[in-house]
Amino acid sequence: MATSLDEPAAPARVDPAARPRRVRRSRAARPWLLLAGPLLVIAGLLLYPIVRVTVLSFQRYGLKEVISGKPEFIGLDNYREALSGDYLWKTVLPNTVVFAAVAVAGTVVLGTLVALLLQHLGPRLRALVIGSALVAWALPAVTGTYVWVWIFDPDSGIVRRTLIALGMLDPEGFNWFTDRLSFYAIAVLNVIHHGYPFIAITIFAGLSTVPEELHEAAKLDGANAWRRFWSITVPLMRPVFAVVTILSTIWDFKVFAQIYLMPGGDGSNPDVFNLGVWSYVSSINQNKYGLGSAIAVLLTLVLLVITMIYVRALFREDELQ
Amino acid sequence: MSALDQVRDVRPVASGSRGWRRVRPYVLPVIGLLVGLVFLAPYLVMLLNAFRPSADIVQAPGSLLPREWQWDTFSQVLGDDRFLSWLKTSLIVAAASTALVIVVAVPAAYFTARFRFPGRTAFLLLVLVTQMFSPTALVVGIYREWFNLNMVNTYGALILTNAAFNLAFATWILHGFFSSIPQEIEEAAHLDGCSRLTTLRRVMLPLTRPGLVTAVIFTFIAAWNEYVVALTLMLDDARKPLPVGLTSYVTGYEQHWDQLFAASIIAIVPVVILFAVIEKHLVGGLTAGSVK
Repeated sequence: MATSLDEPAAPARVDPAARPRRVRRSRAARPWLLLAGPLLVIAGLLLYPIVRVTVLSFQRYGLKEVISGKPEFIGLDNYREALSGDYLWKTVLPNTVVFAAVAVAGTVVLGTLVALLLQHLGPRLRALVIGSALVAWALPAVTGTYVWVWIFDPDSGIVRRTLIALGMLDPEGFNWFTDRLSFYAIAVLNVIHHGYPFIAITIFAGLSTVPEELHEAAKLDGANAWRRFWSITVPLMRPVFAVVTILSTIWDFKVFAQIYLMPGGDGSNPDVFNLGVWSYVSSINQNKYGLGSAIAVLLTLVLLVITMIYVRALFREDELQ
Repeated sequence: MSALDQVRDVRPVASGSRGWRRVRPYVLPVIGLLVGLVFLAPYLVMLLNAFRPSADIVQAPGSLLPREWQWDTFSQVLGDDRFLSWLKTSLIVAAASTALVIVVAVPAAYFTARFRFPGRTAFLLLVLVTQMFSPTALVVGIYREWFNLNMVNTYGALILTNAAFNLAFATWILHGFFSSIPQEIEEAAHLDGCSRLTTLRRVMLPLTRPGLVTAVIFTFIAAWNEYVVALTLMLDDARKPLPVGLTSYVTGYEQHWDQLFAASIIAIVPVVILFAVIEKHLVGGLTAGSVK
């Protein structure tokens, strides 16, 4: 993914014998002919909906307007509604940002540990672990979430039974899904468990590019494994760590199914909404399309800022190389 | 592990690590197996729950192992017309989205890797930025768009939307691969009389196979697992893809946990088949694509 934008591309070479005249004429138009496909898809299916959502965010668009088809322009009222009061700042934003921070940290740390482990496994066992990591990565978020919901079920979950057996939970039990903190603890487990196998493979791939000689030399100088990791692996792997961290951040900010499909996440417990779920529930469940769109725009802006950091990180890596 | 590694491992580096060195050959494989088991644990839960009646799954106190076995859940699910139509939708949508992404991304990635032209950097940045778009944030706009085109509930709408969200990643991966192939290889093909198209098809594409494999896998899995757009767009029960369809096994009206888990197991089979088919190229593709 860390691909260079700045590296000089090879100059256009056209075989003069093969197509003498037509080539020169079509030369200027040709790149855009070949790029027309992606541009069309991006403009039609991503940029248009963004514009549509942005326009909606400045309108009163509820059930009445859906029927009449005549939305009313209300300026910043939807944003005012979203931004005023404590709900966004004390509930939704922490649910989005703190959750993502914890999940990203957990994903990258665990992924790194597994990647280091992979380096020290024999080829057959390594292939086995990588294979299971790929299968784990392919697990749909929807089914993964059902598994976690079942494991933590307040009545028939195996976690409840285990904790009661260990004397760590009162026999009357505890509903983890109604409490915001424990709800998100489960969501974090779900998201990290889903995310770190793939991150581990990517970091493992990066580790194999670190020259063995550096470790040899440091070893001769008496550096232990801990020291070698921080002084050799981490600096050399900075581009890889940057990419996996930022990609995980973008993914974890976009989490939807993992929250929406947990008890209460589909609208009945506003305490557990993140930005995406709040936007979806406002629009689709409550028919407040204007408010939902304003929240969606806020989410997009947050993601845009993260992407800027991502792009800058990529550019900086390229300058270093 | 090479012979060199083993030689190096014998050499004591620091005192105190000698005991660790002795147990390491036994401890590390065990940890490796445990990690693999943790990775696959959700599948184990789904499999165990697929072989027990729904009432046993939700009976308190909980139990990981079935207290009562039920062997016909898979045949129930496979005989369920709803499930078969969800499976059909998922197969059509994921396969078509993947094909579309590859067809659109390959020329763009090749061209941006090989030629400099005004707007090239802007194009690559645009592609990169679309990677951050959240389907949840756009879903209302997407719905309105397909509604205006009278295409809500159609495969085409879902295929195109999935393709749009996965185009960026495929283009970037392939761009990286095309960039890494030396220009000389192409020149040699030219000298041998290949046209540019033939070179792309006969020389470049085989060399970028790991990149193609990565792009295919990423797109297929993303389209196969996509939830929020399908949830909003596919209202007709028979046209829902698997992730949305599966949720109808456990609702206020029916509680078929057994079928939900059995269907989840079946839902992973096409992806595992895809892994098996292109397994050899896959890890190389992930590695090369992600770290250049």
